[in-house]
Amino acid sequence: MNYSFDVVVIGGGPAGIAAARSAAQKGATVALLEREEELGGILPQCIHHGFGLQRFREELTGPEYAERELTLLAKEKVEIFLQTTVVDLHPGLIDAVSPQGSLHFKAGSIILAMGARERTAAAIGLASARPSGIFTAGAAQRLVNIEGCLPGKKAVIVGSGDIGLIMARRLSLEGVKVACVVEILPYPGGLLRNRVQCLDDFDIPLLLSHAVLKVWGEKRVEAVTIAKLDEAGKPIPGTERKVPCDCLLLSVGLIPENELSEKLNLAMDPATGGPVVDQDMETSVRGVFACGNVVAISDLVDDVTKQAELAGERAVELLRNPQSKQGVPLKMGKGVRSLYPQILVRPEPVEVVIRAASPMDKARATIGQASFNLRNVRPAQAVKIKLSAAEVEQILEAQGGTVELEGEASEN
Amino acid sequence: MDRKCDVVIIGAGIVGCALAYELAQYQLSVAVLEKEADVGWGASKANSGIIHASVHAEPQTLKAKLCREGNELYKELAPKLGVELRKTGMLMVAQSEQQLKSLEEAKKRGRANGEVGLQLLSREELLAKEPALSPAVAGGLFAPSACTIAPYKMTVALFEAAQTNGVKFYFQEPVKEFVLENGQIAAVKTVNLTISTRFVVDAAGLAAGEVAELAGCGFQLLPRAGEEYILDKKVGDIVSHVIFPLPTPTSKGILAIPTADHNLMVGPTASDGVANTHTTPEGKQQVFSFIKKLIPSISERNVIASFAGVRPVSETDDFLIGPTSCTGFFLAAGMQSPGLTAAPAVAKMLTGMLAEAGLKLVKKEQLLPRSKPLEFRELSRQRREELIRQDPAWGRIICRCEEVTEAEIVEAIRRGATTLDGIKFRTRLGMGRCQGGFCTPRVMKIIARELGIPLTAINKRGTGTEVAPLESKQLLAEEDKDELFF
Repeated sequence: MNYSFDVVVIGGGPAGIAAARSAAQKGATVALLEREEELGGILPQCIHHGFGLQRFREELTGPEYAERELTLLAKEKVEIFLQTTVVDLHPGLIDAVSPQGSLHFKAGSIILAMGARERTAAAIGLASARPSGIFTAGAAQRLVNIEGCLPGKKAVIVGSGDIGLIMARRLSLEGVKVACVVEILPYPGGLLRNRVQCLDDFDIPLLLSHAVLKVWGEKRVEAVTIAKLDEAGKPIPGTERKVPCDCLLLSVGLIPENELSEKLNLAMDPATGGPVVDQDMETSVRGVFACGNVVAISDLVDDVTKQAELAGERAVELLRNPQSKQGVPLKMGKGVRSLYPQILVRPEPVEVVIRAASPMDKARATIGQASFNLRNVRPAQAVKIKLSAAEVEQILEAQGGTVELEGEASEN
Repeated sequence: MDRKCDVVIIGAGIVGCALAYELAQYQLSVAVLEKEADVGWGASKANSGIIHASVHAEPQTLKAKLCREGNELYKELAPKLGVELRKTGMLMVAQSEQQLKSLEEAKKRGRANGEVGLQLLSREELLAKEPALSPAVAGGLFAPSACTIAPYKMTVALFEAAQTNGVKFYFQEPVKEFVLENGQIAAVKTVNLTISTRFVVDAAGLAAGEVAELAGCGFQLLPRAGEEYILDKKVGDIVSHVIFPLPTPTSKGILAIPTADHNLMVGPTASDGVANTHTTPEGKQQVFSFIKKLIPSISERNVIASFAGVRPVSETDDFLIGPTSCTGFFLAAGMQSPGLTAAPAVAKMLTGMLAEAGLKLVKKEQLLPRSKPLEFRELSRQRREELIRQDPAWGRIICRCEEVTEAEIVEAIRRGATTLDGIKFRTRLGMGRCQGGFCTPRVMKIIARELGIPLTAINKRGTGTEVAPLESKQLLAEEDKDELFF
């Protein structure tokens, strides 16, 4: 089956939904491709609240946020293709399969919104005999919240990222004993409010600078040996202890899902794990845009929606009025772990999203000539800095700019 | 349950299944007893996946002879059963001038074992064949007959071919007792079965010695654990041959293996006396520090999975194949490397021995073929379209990393998989980058539907490995919340 659309959006999570809506609002013909049976991405399984505080000024659950967005989407003319998996990609051409058969799409613009996947046990070098009972936190979340079954009776959570914290609370509410959260760094990942509401409120110990050295059990997880780490990240002899448990949840990071992006040979940024994008959310390939977790992991879905709306708008504008863009780089300097957009192309207000390399209580961010005072800078909460048109113009004229974060280190 | 069989095979690993397939060609009733929930879950799935050139073992050994014969047999057997044989060839690499002499010795050994096409390579020739090798190499030995194969796929293929042709397989049925009459095998007993038979073949892998003990002819096996590390397909092309260092007294060394599935795999280690399948930080360190000297561009960062297997090593260090002091009780044991390679040859050798001992062999007129299961990722666009039209389940991709569709999962279940690992080893579901993170809950639903069992009953690899054994709210209803699950 052959189709032709102005804009084809790949991925029907919050990013894809917002991008498709905003592209359709600009009058483009839009297709939204989603591999699952329903839209919403990861939101349907995120039954906790905390979504939409900024966007709707309400505390919504994941499914509620998805429902709001889908209601808005339904007002626009977007052709939705469910159970449709993209298998091949070229600029302007998309090959997909679904239970209906092979689908081929011609697209004026493509918007990548494939989201992220979870870092695995192998990626963190978890030594085990691969027993039953080891889950990534998101997979466990799906089993508990959507499929209605529990991973065990006593859990240890590896990594203090948001998903792990949320699952610590979720499991506790189901009667699972969560022995501890083990975090390799000396400071916690995850949002502060999750730490308070998921760990403190449930008396679950957060063990910073600790690592799992070994997973015991061959058929099923029986225990883990954990130890404290020194400043160099090496286990301190004598601090080892065995914690009995029958399941292990790994919340050790999200990786932008860019397997399809690589088929397009997009310029990638190893710092974000996603494609290099400019302020239009356009990638290094003309007509290919990206938004949401596929670009870089976002902390709030509200930010994803905003970013995706921009991508949708720009995808249509640039399709109608192609521009030859002369981009200048925004480079990472001291104190910065990642940032985007990595390229600036025209003088207009731009929000730069920066992830700090380490926690700082008081900090100063310099972007080119401009500088900004910040407080409570945490790697887990990306810093969003709005550059004015003039500030962007300055960087363009200087042929680029460096982003730096300097400040007093924080204890946690 | 009582039955009668001509031959009972203990163990459905690569050797047990190869023998089952060999015997299936004759008018015999054959039963295979397997203690796990599926085939090949011992050493058969946890090895380097290499069909070896016979350059390691001394000419008078069974290892040397059966390696050569097995290598030859695979050329026809693998395609016949629909299993891909990747013809990589092998390169044994000398890392110093002193090591060059050992290459010559290996070549001589190989020639004596019947290998052809062996070639000593200069440093330049070696680097031309494999540019990713360290410039510090001194020379190499090329053996063209080495291949790579997915050993779990081969074991499954032999199992299916044997089963299709009448061999009965019983799972989660470890042997409990042998009944002997005047020193001759009369029956085999498990918890649920009693099978009268005159011939038993002990192909029980690591447990072969213990099984033989039950027949009064026990022997020792040394477990030798080995860890392997699988790297992302993205770096699967770093080398195109299997790269060997010079062998050590106990192992062929740490290798770089371009697998039949186009991953790169590095390993194994060799830990004597270790019988568990744990991977360890020390093992990982050992593998990578060694292999990076041979191939500098290999990096731990690309590891997507790791596993460990345990080889059973006999006291003679050679295979133990043949009759024992217990009449009718035969061994196919001590199957360390090159066990996978030798398996089809072991099967033929044992069949000959059984015949000599009185097993009547009448060839069947016809053997039913084993059809290779279709794999979406390998099919053309047109073929995919045809299949989807016949069955929409071909259009539902469940494992995105490896492009495994619902139709393939249903077929794997139809062919005997009842566990997550069983589906994994038949379809590659869960072997990709996300290691089952996305697809596991979805495939669990498919298994539940196809087998008519609750989600909570679905397990990873047999009883005791249930994935999510409790129902929501179940714990809240229970009194004692401090007890562990088992």
